[in-house]
Amino acid sequence: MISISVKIEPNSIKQITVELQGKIDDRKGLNKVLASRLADELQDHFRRKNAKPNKRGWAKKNFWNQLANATAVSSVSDSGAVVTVAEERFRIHVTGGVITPKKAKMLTIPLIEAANGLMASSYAQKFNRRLFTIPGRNALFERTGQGSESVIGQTNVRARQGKRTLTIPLAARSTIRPVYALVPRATIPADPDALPSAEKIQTALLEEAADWLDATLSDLA
Amino acid sequence: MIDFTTPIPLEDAVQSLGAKTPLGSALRSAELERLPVEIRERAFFSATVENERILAEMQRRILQRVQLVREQLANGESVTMDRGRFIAEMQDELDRLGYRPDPEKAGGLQDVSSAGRLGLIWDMQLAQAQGYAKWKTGQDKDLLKAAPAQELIRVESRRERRLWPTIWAAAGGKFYGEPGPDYPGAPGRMIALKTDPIWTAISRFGTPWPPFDWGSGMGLRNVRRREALELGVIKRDDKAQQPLSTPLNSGLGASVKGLPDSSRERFRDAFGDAIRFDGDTISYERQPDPSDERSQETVRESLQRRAREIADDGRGRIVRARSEDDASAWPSGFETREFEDEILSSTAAVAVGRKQLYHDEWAGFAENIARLIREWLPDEVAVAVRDGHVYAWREDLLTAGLDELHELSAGYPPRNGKLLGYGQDFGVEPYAVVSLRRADGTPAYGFQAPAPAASTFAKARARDFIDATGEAIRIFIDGKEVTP
Repeated sequence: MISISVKIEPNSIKQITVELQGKIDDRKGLNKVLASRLADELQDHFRRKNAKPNKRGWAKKNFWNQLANATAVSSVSDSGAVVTVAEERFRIHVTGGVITPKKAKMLTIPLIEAANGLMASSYAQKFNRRLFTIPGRNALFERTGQGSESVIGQTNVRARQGKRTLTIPLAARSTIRPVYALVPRATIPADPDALPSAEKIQTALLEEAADWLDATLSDLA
Repeated sequence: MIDFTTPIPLEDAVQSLGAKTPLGSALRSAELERLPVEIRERAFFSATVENERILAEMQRRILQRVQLVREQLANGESVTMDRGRFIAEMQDELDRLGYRPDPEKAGGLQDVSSAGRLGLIWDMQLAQAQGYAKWKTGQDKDLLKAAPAQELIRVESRRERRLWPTIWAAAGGKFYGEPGPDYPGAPGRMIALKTDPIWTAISRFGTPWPPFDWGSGMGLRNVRRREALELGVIKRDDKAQQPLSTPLNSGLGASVKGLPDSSRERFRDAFGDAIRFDGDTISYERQPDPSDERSQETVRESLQRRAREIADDGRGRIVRARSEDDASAWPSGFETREFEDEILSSTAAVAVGRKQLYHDEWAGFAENIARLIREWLPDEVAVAVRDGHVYAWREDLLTAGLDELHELSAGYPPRNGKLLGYGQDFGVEPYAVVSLRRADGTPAYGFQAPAPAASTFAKARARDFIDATGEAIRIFIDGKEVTP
């Protein structure tokens, strides 16, 4: 008689132990099938999260679907299997953490929908806009309306052109809007719902193990 | 065990994307879609992008993402590639390479430097690599049993949705169970076995994995055995599905009418005898034997290996001929190896289908040269002499007979430019002078070509040398060195 039980450490599904009672010849086959089911459960979970609307009401960037696409069985052996989410940005949603700029001095956080998903240079090119900073304001702005042609009341702003920084005058009464917030770091809280619950995984794997046994026994019959 | 702190690259996705050859082409999207799927899946291209350096830069960055490579910065930090960075870096790269969009098309999808076009390239290439990796994983006998079917579902919302149930039904697809939330008016859910040809039939790109169309937002969900039994997709006593080993075997040809000589040369350069041009039709011919340990070779690796083997064999035969025969049997310069690399690289390129014709005038030495060449070339290469001119060509790839070849190559005035697209056809204006030189600056090969296509032919012939000798070669066009 063969029986299977699935154990998951409390509060974590990073390690799943499947205990087998009885003689099973094809352990690798079972590991493969269980890993595949786990990958399916993760993909379904990510896609459900992806279906939720963007918090700011903007067009979605489908981050969670990208995670689903990057989820797959990576390796299988007699002793276990590895399922991977081949996407660097996932980890921080599981564990939480602080993001700091790597190349630039500041992180750019989009403040308008059109800037979402674009680096500042790409936004400037796409909309043919010059982005600039104003002393004392931690944001990248763009001009949205022409101001007075008078030199009286001009404000000097700073803009990048290639690797150079230019100081350019901004006419008085020009209308401007912030496009990106500039921040030295951003804290991403751990998402308690980044992964499916341990109970759900356990139920799915037990069902899969039972189905695998059923299919194996029906092949033998 | 699952460990979410160390993401592992999808090896099949890396392999699929990494094996693609950057292939510049003037073809538009609709024309590219008509190419045989076997060619499309083995080439990295983008509509109307002819500069292969641009394509190589795109491929390198997307591969960096698939491999999850962290790039080390000078400040000690490390970064990974993502969509936003890809767009920004490629915009810089295109600017550096002198790309200027047509002012009337700037910012739109026909502008390669636009965020929309670059984002689309990123999305499609990444999705195709991941789609292939999952398809390959699913074609496993244990997994075909555990999850025998898959469902076509909406994975990303779209403002305008194609009517996929209509496409599905038109392609012969069946519906099972109650309709899902994506298409509540459909007769049921769009489910089929994983080995069912429906998956290729619904794809605009001819592949059985997603994406199935440009920006479709559709994807696949596994249907496990239990659910497949409940829905009636399978029965308990059904025979097991056999994994598909070769997904792409369309056997179809596609019209390339109007394709300029330089574009045909690019295809030949990249695919050699894996493709055939039959008039205005191109088809893919290479069907590797899965039992052959070399079947995992990419087309490029295979061409390079075969050319090197032929050239190495030829080099040995030339050395023997020089040492065994009377010096008067060979032309002046033969003993100093002046012509050796040119003959070996040209004939090896003909043998693997990357070059259409070897032709040279050897006058009184022609018979000896032809006999020697015959010794190292495979049987499928024809070698012939006419009036002191030596020819070598593959009759399955170049259907012209010897009379025609001789007339086109050695007639007066010489017209071999008509046949190959380059050579000594002085009637083509403007033309450019191409010179290939070894690393030490000594000349290796030279010809004239129509100026707009000179770079394409120069790079193809440079590849002949690199494949045959393993040595670097420098390219000069009208005296100016260009990047290989």
